[in-house]
Amino acid sequence: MIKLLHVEDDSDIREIALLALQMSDTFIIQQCEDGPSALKCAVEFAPDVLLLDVMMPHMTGPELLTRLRQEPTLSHVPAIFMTARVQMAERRALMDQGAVAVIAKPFDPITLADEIKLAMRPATA
Amino acid sequence: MQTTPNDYAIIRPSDADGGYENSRSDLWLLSALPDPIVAFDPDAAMIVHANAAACRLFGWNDAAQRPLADLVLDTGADTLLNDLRRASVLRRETHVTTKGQLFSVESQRCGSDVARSMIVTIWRGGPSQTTLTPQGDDFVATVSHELRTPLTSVKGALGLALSGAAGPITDKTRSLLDIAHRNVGRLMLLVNDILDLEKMSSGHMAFDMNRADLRDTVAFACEANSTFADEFGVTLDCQIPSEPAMVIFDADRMHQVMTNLISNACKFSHPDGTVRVKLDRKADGAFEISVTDHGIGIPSKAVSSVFDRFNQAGSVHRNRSGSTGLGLAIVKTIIEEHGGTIALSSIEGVGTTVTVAIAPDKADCINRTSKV
Ligand SMILES: Nc1ncnc2c1ncn2[C@@H]1O[C@H](COP(=O)(O)OP(=O)(O)OP(=O)(O)O)[C@@H](O)[C@H]1O
Ligand SMILES: [Mg+2]
Repeated sequence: MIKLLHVEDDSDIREIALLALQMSDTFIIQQCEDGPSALKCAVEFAPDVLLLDVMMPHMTGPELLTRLRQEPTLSHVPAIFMTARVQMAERRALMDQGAVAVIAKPFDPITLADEIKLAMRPATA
Repeated sequence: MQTTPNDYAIIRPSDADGGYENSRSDLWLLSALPDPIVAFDPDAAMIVHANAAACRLFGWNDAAQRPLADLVLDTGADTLLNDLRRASVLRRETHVTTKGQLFSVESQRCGSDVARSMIVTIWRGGPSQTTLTPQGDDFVATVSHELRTPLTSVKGALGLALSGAAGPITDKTRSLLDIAHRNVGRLMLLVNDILDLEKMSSGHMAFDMNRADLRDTVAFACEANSTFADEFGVTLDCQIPSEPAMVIFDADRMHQVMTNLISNACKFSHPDGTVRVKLDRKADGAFEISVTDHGIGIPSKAVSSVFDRFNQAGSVHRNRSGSTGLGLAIVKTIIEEHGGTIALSSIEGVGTTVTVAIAPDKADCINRTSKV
């Protein structure tokens, strides 16, 4: 099983992602509604992969990732950003932040699990 | 008002061959304006004129013939340089800060002869207008986020329900969910298109211009759209020359252009039709991409308005969903941003050809500018 930490401020999107990921039976999912609450639970949960929304109140996805990376146990966990369709330059900027993938919103709930597993591959190999 | 000889000296025709020769009164007028004005020669990547206010702002005592690097900005330099680099006739606005002051910079190409034209920028804001905020970027980003978030949930929820993830559904329910799912997809396209247009017309669309082979983009677009063509029973005939077609362009945006032209040609073709996509080089050296179909064509009175927003030329789509009537308006904007031209010719009942012409990568001046 893969432990996934999902941080997303919109509760409907959280629920859809949860349903979508539960279909594949390979994830243990922990969801947080913003950066500060993710910082509180991340170390204890010890995720194998991070799925982060980009635009969130209090703390943006990239800001959250920077903070999470300061934790020794989280410094190498693969991170995936999820964001509304981005231009190439923005996508590149997110990848430069150390993400392994950027998933565009609206995401396809049917393929979400596979996309995450695919993105994790180079990091886990 | 009195003028002193100094006023004339501050801006002076810099070009020895008199390319930008101005009359004395024009020069006086420019230097008397309170807003900084800076003129650039985009080909030489040089600043060719600056009025008195601009000289004061940047601390220059002589404005003639400076490298672009002398334009020291705190923020916004990339976007502004991008604007200057683009051979566009469009007027655009960018926000920059320099010396801790925020400016709204309006750039416009002047002169009808592209070879001798320059880009004039007017800088508004500065110390007196502290309320000015760079809203453009924020606005598009905010609207895009606010619209896409609920759409993401709606589309996701419908997709999951349709997949049976939430339990079995009856055929009747399925067909209703199908309709909703299809239409939310259409709404999404519309939102994307409107935001694209907004970004482009406000100058906030960053173009990622690189020197590359146009053949790759055209071939890739044909490949990527072959499934779409199949759905309409249309065959794509992609004709690519053997010689490289080196151009400075944004590959993603050009792909968007090709996708729209090819999808239009397929949508309005008859089943079993052929759409020809052809790249070749014209006598004047420009590269020309044409997309030709033998479909329903466009009534002659409607041809002139096909590039307008939300125009659907009164034609009957074979697949109405997934159409916004914004495609060609976006295509035209993108091509003009590349300094190219686009034309459409059509005969009702016979077919349509759309032709895009793009100048080759003739000067390395663009690369020089981008290094500043
Ligand atoms: N190849 C073509 N043959 C016939 N009509 C065309 C062709 N290309 C464009 N048109 C006409 O021009 C209109 C505008 O085209 P445009 O690409 O802007 O919009 P669209 O294809 O309707 O929607 P969108 O591209 O936004 O999904 C079309 O609706 C159609 O009426
Ligand atoms: Mg179209």
